[in-house]
Amino acid sequence: MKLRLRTRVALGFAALSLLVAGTVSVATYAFASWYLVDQRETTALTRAALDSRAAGAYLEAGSTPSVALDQIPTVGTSQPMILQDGTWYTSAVTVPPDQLPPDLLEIANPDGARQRFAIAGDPFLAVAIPMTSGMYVEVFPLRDLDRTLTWGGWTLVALSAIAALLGALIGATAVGRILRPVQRLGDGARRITGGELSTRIDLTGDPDLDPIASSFNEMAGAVQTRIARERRFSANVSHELRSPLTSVLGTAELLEGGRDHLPEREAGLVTVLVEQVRRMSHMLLDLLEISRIGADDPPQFESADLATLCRDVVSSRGLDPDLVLGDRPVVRTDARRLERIVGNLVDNALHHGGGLVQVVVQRDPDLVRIFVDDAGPGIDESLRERLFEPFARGETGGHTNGAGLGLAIVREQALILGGDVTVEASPFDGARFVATLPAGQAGP
Amino acid sequence: MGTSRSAMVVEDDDAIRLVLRTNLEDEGYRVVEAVTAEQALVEMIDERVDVVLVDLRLPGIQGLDLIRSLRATSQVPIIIVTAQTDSHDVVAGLEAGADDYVTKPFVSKELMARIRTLLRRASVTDDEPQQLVCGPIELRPDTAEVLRNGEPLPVSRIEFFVLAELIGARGKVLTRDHLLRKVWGYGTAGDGRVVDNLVYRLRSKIEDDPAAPELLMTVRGFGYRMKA
Repeated sequence: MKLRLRTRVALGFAALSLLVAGTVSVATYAFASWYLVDQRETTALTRAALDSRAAGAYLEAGSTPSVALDQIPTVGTSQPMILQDGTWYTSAVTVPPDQLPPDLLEIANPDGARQRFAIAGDPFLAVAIPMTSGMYVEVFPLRDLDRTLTWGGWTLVALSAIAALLGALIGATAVGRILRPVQRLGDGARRITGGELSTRIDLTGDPDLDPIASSFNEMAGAVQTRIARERRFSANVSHELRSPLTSVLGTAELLEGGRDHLPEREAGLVTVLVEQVRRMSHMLLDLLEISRIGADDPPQFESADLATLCRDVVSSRGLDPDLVLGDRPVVRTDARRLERIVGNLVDNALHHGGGLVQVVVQRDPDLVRIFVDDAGPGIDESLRERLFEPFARGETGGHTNGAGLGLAIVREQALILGGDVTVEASPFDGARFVATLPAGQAGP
Repeated sequence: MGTSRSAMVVEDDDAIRLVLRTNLEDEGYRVVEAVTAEQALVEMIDERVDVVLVDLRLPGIQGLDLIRSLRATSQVPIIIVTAQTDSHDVVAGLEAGADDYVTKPFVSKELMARIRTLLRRASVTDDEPQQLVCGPIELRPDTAEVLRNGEPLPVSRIEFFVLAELIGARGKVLTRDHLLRKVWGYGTAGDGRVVDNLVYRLRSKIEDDPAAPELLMTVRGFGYRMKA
């Protein structure tokens, strides 16, 4: 999976910060530890030299090693010891003499030999200085130094981690700032897609970003102009088509009115003429309707008695209104659009579904369903969704004729009313179209 | 059908004018034709017409201005016959004073039925049950007159019948759909803006302050109600 840009940049910044802080920390640690150890060793060496000289002086004056050791001022926690004639003398027992590193005495020299060693994990520094009579050894504990260095090391690790986190934060913030104009572009594009064609992006005065915003605005302007032009064109086409169609339809209907007085041959022709002109008229109106649905005609919600509306629709098609069954809910909806929906579904059943079996109104708590069952062979599951596309053609039995725009209009109108339309198998083997609507409030 | 009824058709498309004329004559109307708005205004001086059909897109004076001019002097029912697809035009026509509209291509039978409803209802004299009174407003069903504080109000017949419906059911909400079917003669669901517009006009006549109505109330999302 590809990580988000923001995450990637944050990780990059974190890695960079960690690298820089880590390098600095390691260098600091190395230097500090070298410096502190060196300092401590020099101090120890100086001190051991002084002490050995003092002890040597006492021994030469005839003191026993134990007395000589007692005379050495024990500063801090160092432990002096003297080896004389194969015997170790020491005033403390923190470090037993047999625990000293074995090669210490071999490398001992008048300038002082140093060696670090550990007893049970505790670090020590031993300094050996030969005296005229015997060997002087002083052991310095390094535990506090070791602890200081450990603590300092962890502090540096923690600081490096904080630096990495800060880096990530700065990276994420920076990307956020860079992405904000991009997000504005995205929002603008979404609004335009949603129909707000007059959406423009404000210029911010940033010379890097403004060209992008300007290009976007130019594009939006071009789209708006083009859509306005096409809308005008379709309005003009519609106007130009409507006028002749009106006179043809009107004339055809007048001829139909006088059909009884016509000879049989002409009467038949008039029937064909009227049918076809009506078909054309419906087609044109459907085409105009679907091209402008919702454009400048917001739904007008009002309480409507669904059962009565369905009965009106059914009886206006010359069918028995008792084909409408079920509940009698009163819902808030746009009656004109709902009548189109039910009317188109009933027409679809009549013309493409082998006839109308029944219309069932069903009230559920939150929504209302209107079932329109036809007497056709049903619709194959794979074709059901395509049925609602403009000029879709069913390929099974009864749906061989182009259904035209009727079902596409139904779907669009239903969406405007906050509902939807689907198709499934009816209990009568045909197709069942289901219009779902929000129930809204019933009654004033 | 009384032969005294007359209709004016203002339409520059000869074919459509002929279709309208033939349909109206078949229904028994005397038809006055006008090709332009100017001609229509001249004809209106001499002729008494009971209903006017107006195309919105006319040469010279536009349909909208014609409707305004007619409305300034007359309460005659005006029906827009339009090929305009833009619903702004329809709304503008209704605001200019039209009472209803049909879009081309229309079904002649439907249009004739609506005209018949408008005119038939205007001559109902006997079956109005009671005197209709609501506050300062009084309806005289016998003469289709409306009085406000005893003074006659100039209302169109459609306005009269909308008032009659609302006052007859006063206190109850009537939906736009109900009014469209009862008053305008719609057989199918119609455009509620036709009702809204007429109510707006009515308010400017019967209310003290049309912007804050006290008699004819809007019930948002349901319809209109007359004060009980």
